Amino acid sequence: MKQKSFVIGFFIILIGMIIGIRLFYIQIIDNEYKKLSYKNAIKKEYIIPERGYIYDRNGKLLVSNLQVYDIMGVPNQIKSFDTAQFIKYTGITLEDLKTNLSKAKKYSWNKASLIVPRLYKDEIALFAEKINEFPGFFIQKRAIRKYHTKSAANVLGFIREVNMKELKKDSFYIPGDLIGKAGVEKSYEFQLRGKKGIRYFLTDKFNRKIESYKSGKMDVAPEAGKDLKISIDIALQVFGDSLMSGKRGAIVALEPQTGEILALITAPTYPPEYLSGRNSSKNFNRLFRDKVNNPLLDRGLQGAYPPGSPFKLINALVGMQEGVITPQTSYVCNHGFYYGKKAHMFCHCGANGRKVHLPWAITNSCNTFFSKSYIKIIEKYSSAAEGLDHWSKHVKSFGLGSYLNTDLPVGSKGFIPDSKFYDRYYGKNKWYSTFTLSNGIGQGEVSTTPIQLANVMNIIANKGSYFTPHIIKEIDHGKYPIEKRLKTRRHTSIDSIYFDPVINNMANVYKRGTARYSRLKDIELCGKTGTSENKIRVEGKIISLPDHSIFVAFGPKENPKIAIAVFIENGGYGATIAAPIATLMIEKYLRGKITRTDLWNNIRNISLEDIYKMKYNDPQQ
Amino acid sequence: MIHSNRRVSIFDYDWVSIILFLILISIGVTSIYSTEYTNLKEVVYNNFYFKQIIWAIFSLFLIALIGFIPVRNFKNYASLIYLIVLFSLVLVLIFGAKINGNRSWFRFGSFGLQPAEFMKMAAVLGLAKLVTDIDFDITNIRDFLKASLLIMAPVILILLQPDLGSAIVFLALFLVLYREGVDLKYFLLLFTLALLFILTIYWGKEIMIVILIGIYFLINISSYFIFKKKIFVKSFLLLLLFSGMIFLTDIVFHHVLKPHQKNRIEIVLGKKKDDRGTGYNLKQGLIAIGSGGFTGKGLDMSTQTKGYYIPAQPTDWIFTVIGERWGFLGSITVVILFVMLLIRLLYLAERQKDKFARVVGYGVISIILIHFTLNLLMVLGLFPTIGIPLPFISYGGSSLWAFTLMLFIFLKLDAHRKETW
Repeated sequence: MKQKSFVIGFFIILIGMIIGIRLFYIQIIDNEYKKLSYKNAIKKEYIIPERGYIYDRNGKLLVSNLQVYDIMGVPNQIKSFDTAQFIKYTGITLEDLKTNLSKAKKYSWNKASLIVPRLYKDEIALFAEKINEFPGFFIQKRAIRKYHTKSAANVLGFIREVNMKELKKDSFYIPGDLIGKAGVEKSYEFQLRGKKGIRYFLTDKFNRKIESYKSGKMDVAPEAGKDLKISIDIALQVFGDSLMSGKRGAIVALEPQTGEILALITAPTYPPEYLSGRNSSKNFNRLFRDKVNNPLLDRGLQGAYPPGSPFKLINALVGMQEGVITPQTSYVCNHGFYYGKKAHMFCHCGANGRKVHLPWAITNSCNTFFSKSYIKIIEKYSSAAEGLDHWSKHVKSFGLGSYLNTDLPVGSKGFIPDSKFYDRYYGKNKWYSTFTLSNGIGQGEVSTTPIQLANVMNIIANKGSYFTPHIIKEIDHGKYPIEKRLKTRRHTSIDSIYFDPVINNMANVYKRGTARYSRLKDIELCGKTGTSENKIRVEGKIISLPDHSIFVAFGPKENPKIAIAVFIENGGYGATIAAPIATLMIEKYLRGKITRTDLWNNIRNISLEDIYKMKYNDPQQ
Repeated sequence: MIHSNRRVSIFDYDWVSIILFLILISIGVTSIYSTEYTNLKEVVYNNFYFKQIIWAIFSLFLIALIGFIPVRNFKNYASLIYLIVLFSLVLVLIFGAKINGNRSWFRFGSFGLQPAEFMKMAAVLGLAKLVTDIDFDITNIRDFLKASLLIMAPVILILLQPDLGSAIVFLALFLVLYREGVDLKYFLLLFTLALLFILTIYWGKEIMIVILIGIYFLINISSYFIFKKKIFVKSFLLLLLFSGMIFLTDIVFHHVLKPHQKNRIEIVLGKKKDDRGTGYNLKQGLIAIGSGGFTGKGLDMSTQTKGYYIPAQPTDWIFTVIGERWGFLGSITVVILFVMLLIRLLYLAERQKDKFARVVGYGVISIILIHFTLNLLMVLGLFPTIGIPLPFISYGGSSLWAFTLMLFIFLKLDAHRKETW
């Protein structure tokens, strides 16, 4: 019987060994449990850094941050509470409270959900005092953008919660984070957002924080976002807004020496705070759905229109560069120009059968002169295709027909045709220079955006070169460099000697040409009016609407400080609305004040709403 | 009876066992403290660790009490003790307080007693008394059944509470019968039946019957042609027994066991994955132990314990604290301490001249062994989750006192081994 005790002893040791081996396996060999334990108990919490401020070019604060307070609730910690009191303290409606609570329960019982969003400091005070009466609720601070201007919404952009696509693209973001969705907020998101801090917590099985992990030794401090100084002159921008009241269109003002955007005005627009604060989602939907006014469209960057007469300046330059015209070249203009059977281009330059030289042509916008010059450019080469491609290449060197690649997130290419385009349209070798004649006067196929036209003014002011237009001036008070591509001088394919005659005659536009009623005392400006035809199709019939009013200018003539393009939808003849607006803008920028307040008031009071109503009164609406 | 004149002194008690006992109790109190130190209650005696210290001090009084009881009384009153405690198991079914659906506690105000815990000691004494009876012959099938009945009576009463964990513990007493002369083949038979139980749950009765019949023919044909032996009848009896077991298993598993008990078995057998319900304890416990690593995470970094991820941690799942806080070193130390205690008790049992004392010794060993084994196998995910505490370490007065009584009654018998009584 004694040997049975050895069997039992062996059995005891065997059990000890089995347990020991199992322990060895799960504690030392298998690493999975360590990971699971970490995942279980240690939770990360991000500390969102303060977003960078935005200043205008003169250091005026445009955008800062505002502390608001969200009331959050954790469903499984919420006990029955006095809803009447809750509503009284927070100002939420019973309906919203109910839907938010049921949403929270659907999302998670253990995790906090938003119950009352974005209360200001004075609105939260009462609730903060009584928070003990509402177990399961807590207050979470959150920063939203505070705007110190009612203007420049299109430039500044806005921030909203990240969407799934952005979450996937950049691991920086977690759901609920805010991200720049438009304007400077979008293009300089990386600089503005800063670096998130991380806090580690031990949590229990109810997901409650117990304490900081390793007394915060592993925590990472947040790094505040960088402040930006943008090139906008906010006073000029606000002034521009006032001029645009009742009108649709855009004003783009650039600084020729640097390519900085001085003002970028689009109308109609909205105040930037509209997309911040409590009703931002509702407001966004409202703006987004407004396809009549399209306030989210930045017409200065995105609106591609036929450029009209300002385009003649480019054709003059191309013609001189190609050697087909000189400042002395002349053509006879007799109320227009017959270029084929029944094909007549009308001209109202007022030459009445006299010879027209370049000075007259520019000053009075002679269609005949530029059509004939254009034909000469195309016909210089053996085929129309080759001629057109040469022309196209020159024109494209002005930054037309492709994205300017400004540092703002939106833009439009516009369109400059080349031979391939007409080959597709008419068939190879089946078209002639006259088929494309309207290119000579900026109508027909060509289209440009207002910022592209302003940039053309920059190029003329700089006699052949430009910097890519951009909005950024300084990052973090000059501590970080601006992208090199924005600081690189670009050259057109036109030699600088050809610019003087164009500039001189643009000055004449103000002196005795189409813009003579807008001229400024003491400051010599250069400009060019434009009128772009515009037809729409209503119920199958083509209806001619009032023309778009266009004006481009720069000034002063010597050592230019500002280049500008103004585009007013259906504003009629270029000289009537666009020219005064451009001139007022230039005066405002150069002098800081307006001498002709009567003109300013006149322009402000012009409303084109009646025309727009007609335009959009079609059955599609 | 002749009484020796020699007085038994405190030094005659086995100090190795006593020291191991004290170490295990200290580890227990420390571990219980670890489970709650982040959330200690203001009133000190509301804390588990403090209560456990009180129970431990009170168990010292029990030890002293045992010291004063004349040694022969344990044998003389063994049957009576067995019957009284067995009767209390009947009473608890009637008068017991219902806690978590189980009727296993007598409540006296805020104080509770669990008679099943004391039944363990009573059964050990009763069995020892029965086996040492002058007419008792364990190899006789009638006496074997008598002993089995003595073991099974409390099992059935406790299953009625129902408390599966406490009931299973008594089966360990068959180990005593093995030591006292029952043939190993009966235990092999028991083992085979247990294996059939598991495999039937795993594969289902149909497959098992087919396999069984297949093996039956294979064995018979091979033995007939190779060994020229006919074993048709004997093996047919076994076939009937085993088939009976398969059907019984099927009935028990599908009709007798409660859904949560079925779940637990299926989870351990790997038939089910369930991290939220029954498997939650197991998973969180394994994470705690597994994340302990070699040296453990220390009191402050024991995140599983601190975050209350493991329910019932101070009681049945106390080993998870040890695993997480002290890692492999701490865990293996506790395992070694238990093995040392059991081997020491084995040595003490074998040196008894008196059969009663020896049987009590083996009884104590088998009860501690099955607690230790099943608790650790359960915590380590090798056995279904059943409510079995870890002796001396788990929180709980009744359990601590029962083990203390058991251990010290045997140590007292051992101290008096040189006397004839």
